[in-house]
Amino acid sequence: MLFEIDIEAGDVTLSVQSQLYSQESIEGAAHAFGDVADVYVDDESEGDETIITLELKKNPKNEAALKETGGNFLNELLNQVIGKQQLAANKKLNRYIITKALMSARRDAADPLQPPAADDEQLTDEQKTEAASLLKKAEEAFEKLQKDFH
Amino acid sequence: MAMPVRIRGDNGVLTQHPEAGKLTLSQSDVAAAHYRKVGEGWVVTNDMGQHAILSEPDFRSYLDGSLSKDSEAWLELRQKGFLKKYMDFERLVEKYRSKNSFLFTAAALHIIVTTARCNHKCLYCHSSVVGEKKKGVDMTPAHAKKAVDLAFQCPNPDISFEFQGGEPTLNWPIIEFVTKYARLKNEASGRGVFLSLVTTFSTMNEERFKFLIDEKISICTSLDGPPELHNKNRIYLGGNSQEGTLHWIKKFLEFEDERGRKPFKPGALMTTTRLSMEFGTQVIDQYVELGLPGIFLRPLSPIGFAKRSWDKIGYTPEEYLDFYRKSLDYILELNYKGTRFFERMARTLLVKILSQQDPIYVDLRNPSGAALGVMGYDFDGSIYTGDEARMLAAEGNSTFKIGHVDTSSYNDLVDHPLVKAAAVATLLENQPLCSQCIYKPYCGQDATYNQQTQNSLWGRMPDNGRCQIFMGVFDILFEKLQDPKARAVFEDWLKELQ
Repeated sequence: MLFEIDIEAGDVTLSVQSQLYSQESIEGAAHAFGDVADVYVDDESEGDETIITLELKKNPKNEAALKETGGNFLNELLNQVIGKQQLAANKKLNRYIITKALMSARRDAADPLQPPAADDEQLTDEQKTEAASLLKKAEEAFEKLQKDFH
Repeated sequence: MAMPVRIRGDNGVLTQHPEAGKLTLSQSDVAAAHYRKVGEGWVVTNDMGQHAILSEPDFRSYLDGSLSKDSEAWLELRQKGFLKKYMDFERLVEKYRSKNSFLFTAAALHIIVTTARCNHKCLYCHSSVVGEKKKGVDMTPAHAKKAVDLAFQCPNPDISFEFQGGEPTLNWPIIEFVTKYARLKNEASGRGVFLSLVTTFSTMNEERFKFLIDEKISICTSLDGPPELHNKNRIYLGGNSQEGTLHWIKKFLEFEDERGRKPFKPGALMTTTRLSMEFGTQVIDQYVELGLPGIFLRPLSPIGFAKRSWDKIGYTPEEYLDFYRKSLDYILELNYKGTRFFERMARTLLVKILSQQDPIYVDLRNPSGAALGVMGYDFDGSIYTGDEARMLAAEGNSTFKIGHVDTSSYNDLVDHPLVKAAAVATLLENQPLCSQCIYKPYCGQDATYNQQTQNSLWGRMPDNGRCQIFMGVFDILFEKLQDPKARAVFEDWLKELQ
């Protein structure tokens, strides 16, 4: 396995087994590293290995930083692969939980169990007048505050 | 069948447990469960949030199906849904529902950022605040009204408004307006409406004190410890930060209502910096002397100013956990001697562990509370999936912006693709390590933390600092739960919440 650091160029080149790490996982990891490094896949990668070069975007570009970035990228690559397997394995359960959470959070006008939103039209005339008065008072106080402070 | 038992080693990486090959599993007896050796005992948990702590011989017998039906361990495992042949599904479903009650409702917490201005310059500030005189960073009354209107669209029967900043009281007209307008609207909505203020007390006066008391607005403040620590962490441009904080904490604590009760117990937290670690138990002593009921030993998050000054004030998860363990030991000692005093993070996790209830803590949900448990309304009317999300935006990363009070309907916010993406990414069943973790029933991820530290909503748990801290705190708590004396103190902390 390749893990070469080029301090002068500010890059680290590594190779991974193509059979284990799909193009999709490399793209996913590259996306996660978008603000850390430019990620290049060698189009001359052949056979069992894919060669990847990470060019650091920010300083420092010393040996420690390059080593850490390369190592973190390999971790992220593994995370992408296992994450995808995990997603597939628990697909049904995941969909159920997430759908439940998202649907519970939505307002459904037809659901009589949901508390009223108290929109303007649901307020009495007296409440509307009071709301307008509160807003007017707040605007005056806000304006005064802006003058006093600035 | 050999068990793939895995443990987290010193470097934070999951590795094969040395005993793994020697454990055998009876598939006909053992129900779906997670297990891990913590201290002397084997902790077993399931998705209903039940746990059991077994001795080594009992654990082995449980796994291979030879545990005696007359033993206490067998009865406990049966009652808690760990034995496949004896599952009381009706009861277990109730447990699951109660522990995950947030899955059945919408966001309760609505954070109103009244201003980005602040008169403090705290070393660890997450909010990237601006100076007191800066223009154009105060929420307007019109935006505040729309924020309240949106919050009332949310179908949760309880709504909490939390005023945040900057220093939120620098835009006091918005605090007054939101309080009164929310109360007015609630006359037509009939919910539980709760208000809280996160403040440094730096602009507090008698008039404001009376307003907060009359409106029953709960208070949360920061108290980092003795002046030489507090004032170093929390630099106040107007003088001595700690002096004012202490004055108003005492004033709230001493306030008596018409029946002679003292109903106000301001929440106080200590943000742990490298410097705080040197002061150890002095901070706890100060809280006790003041009469505060507990302390929150909050770890730092690498967001905002804290990220930029991490080299000076930051620490590793291991260092934090060492500090946390020592502090918790000290707090337990105080309780053993008769002083009732709690640590808030421990108490929150213990609610999940011991009562299988939802402690309404949006930072630790599965999936995360992003827009499903909390909404953050920033000073300019932008809406985010939570407090940290808007802090991230102040740093230039608007990933978690899901709308604006001028243009978004409530359902637009919930339907935003980012909300769905964050839910999928933070669902622990989708995470390679979390899905197998013993603490999954009690834990939760934060997509903003993952984005900030590891550049993706999903994060990467083996080297995720937040994961390491929670994992460590859970370990400490489960270790303490094996000590009857400590367990009794923990159970006592929960009584107050019932």
